[in-house]
Amino acid sequence: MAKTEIRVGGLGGQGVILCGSIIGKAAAIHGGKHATLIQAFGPEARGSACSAQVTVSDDVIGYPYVKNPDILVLMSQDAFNQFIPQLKPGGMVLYEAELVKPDGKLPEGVRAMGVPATRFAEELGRRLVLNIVMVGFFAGVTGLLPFEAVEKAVLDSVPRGTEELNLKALKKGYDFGREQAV
Amino acid sequence: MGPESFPQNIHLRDGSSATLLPLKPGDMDALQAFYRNLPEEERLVLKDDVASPQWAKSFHQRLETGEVISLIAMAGDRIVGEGTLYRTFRGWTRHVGEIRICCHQDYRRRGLGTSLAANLVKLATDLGIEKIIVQVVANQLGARKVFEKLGFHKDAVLPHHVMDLAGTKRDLIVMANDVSQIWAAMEAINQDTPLHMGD
Amino acid sequence: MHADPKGVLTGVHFIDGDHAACEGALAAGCRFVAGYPITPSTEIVERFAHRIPKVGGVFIQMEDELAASIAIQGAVWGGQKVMNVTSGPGLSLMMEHLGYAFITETPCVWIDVQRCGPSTGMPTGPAQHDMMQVKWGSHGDFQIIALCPNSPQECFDFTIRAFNMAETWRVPVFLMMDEVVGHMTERVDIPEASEIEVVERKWTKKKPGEYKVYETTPEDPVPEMVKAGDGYRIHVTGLTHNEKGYPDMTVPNQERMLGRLIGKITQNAHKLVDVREDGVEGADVVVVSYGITSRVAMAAVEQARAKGAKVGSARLVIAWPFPAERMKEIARTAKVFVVPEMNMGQMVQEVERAVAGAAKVVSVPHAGGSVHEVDTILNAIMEAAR
Repeated sequence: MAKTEIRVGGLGGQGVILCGSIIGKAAAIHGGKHATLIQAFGPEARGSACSAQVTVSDDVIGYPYVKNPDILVLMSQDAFNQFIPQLKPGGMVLYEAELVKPDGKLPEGVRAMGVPATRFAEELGRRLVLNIVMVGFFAGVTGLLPFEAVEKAVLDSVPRGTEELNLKALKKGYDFGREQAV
Repeated sequence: MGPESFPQNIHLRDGSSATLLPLKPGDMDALQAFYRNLPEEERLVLKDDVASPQWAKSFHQRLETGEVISLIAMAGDRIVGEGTLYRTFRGWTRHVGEIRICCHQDYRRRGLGTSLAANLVKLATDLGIEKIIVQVVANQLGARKVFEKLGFHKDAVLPHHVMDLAGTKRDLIVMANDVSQIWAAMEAINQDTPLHMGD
Repeated sequence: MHADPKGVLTGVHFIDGDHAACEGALAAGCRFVAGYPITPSTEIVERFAHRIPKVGGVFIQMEDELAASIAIQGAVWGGQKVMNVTSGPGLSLMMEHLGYAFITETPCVWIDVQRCGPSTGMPTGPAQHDMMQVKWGSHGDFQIIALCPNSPQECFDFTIRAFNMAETWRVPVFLMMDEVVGHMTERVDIPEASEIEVVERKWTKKKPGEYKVYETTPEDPVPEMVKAGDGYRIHVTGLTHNEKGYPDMTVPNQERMLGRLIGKITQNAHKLVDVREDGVEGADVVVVSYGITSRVAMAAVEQARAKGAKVGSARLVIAWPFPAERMKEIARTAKVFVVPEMNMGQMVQEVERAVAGAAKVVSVPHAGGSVHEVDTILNAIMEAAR
């Protein structure tokens, strides 16, 4: 597997960095790969948008940033507008279906898949786990990382007492993603 | 209540075991029999007149609406313990759930109460209840220890609030577990660090 | 001797370079930090303050960098292993005390998480702007050791190494991080304490009255140390001093003292060489880089090789003392040195000086604020290979 460059974007408070961190942990700690996570400072964090850049690779990662992602994971319209122009041709954008409207801004050959992550989170009892649903969706659609690795990464990352609900959120997103997997 | 969690086989400290499962409407008679078998002193602690048919009807209704969630512990075909989570959907304490645990005399001091309580705490958390309380009498040291281990702290003391059969008054302690703290921790790690410039 | 398990966070972690450096310091036995916050280094001391209630130790936030850089030195003479944590602007304020640490032979680790300057510059942007500052920034002649990590794992490993070197050579030892390495999150493996080698301070076995604070032999130019409270009467001063630590401001003594202090490093430079080489033998073009630039350079070197160029890479892990001898050797076979740095050309001057015209030296500067694009370094390599 060559490098896969991922950018997670959304509003501050949605848990964008945690989302990126779980993907990175799943790859580097439990998935036997290299992963580098960089949080956006500077102009890219302007306004309320914030983002995490995650590079996953079988080999040592040289260039640490993500300029043209292969995969976008987006939880807000601002993030969509900001990052969609950077997406590689033939890349993939995974988005929160109620918060993001792709409405024809998609470049040629790009696959776009939405997930009602907020609704799933609310159905499970906590809107807060929306970003974990997104992680699950990402894992299910891309198949980039083994589910067990992602599960372990979630357990490593969430506070004691929240594990059960977070794992449910992960599975919900994952199953929805498997249905749409390419 | 996730059906996949129950029935749950638990092993107790003395080597015996019990099965935890949700109370079903058909179990009401067995439950009332369990209550009637408690010593009178202890039945006094139960707030409601649990032996009466009116109570059974009201309890059954609240089971249906979800205002009451009850777990029972079975050893063979006997109920040997019971734990209930009370909540309201409207009103100013709709974010609070109250737990009450009751174990048969032969099934005490071996982890059954702890197990019932732990399961109810988990259920309450998953339901989005923000605060769980339990009322204990000041001299119920064993019960207080159990709840402390489960993350409860002393929230309020009502002095001389409960009176036993002999007329002795004791303090009532309300212990609480701020379940919302756990989710506050989750919210904290979801805070994406803000941009900071300058020194 | 092995690390104290109390300070070793054994396990597999996913943390950034700042946090890893803090763990390295704790593993090495650092138990005193006097700090002053400055982006992008603040997380190191924040974590230290957070960890020491469990591990044991002291953290004081000082009123400024001048205070921080001298408070730690007092702690050293009180018996502690210490570190100084800052970025470029803070380092500028610490220059006088850097010279003091050198002349008093106070072992200490200085972590510089470099950011884009000069002056306030771009506080959250990376750079490698301080490479020359650490070598020449204080007044007078002095010597330091500087290590350049390029990953969070190396931030952990090299911090331990820095502490060990500080105790071995009793000079200030710098860890030249940068904002990218400090804030990038990667896997960091922290082993069991029993697997971490830690160099203990060179405590004297001599008795009070026998011991002289700066007594050395020709074979061993590093004096033994004591700490306050052990009953030794010592005198430590920034004035030119003799073996007893008393001021002795004569020209012959200045020559003697400074000669030994400088010689500790210059005469042992061959023991302080760490250049990670790849494909240098037979290469026409050799890329010399350090820190985060070395990772981008690696990607460029691979792409250049795919295009048929015979290119090698030499990564400086120890930047100071500069491996001049090794550069000279490489210059016998290589035709061009390509030196990408996140500054306007600092270490390239050392390469030029060492190579002394035996090969061409090309600087690939960057004003700072980000890392080089892979293409920028690649183009420079291909141009050099023509």
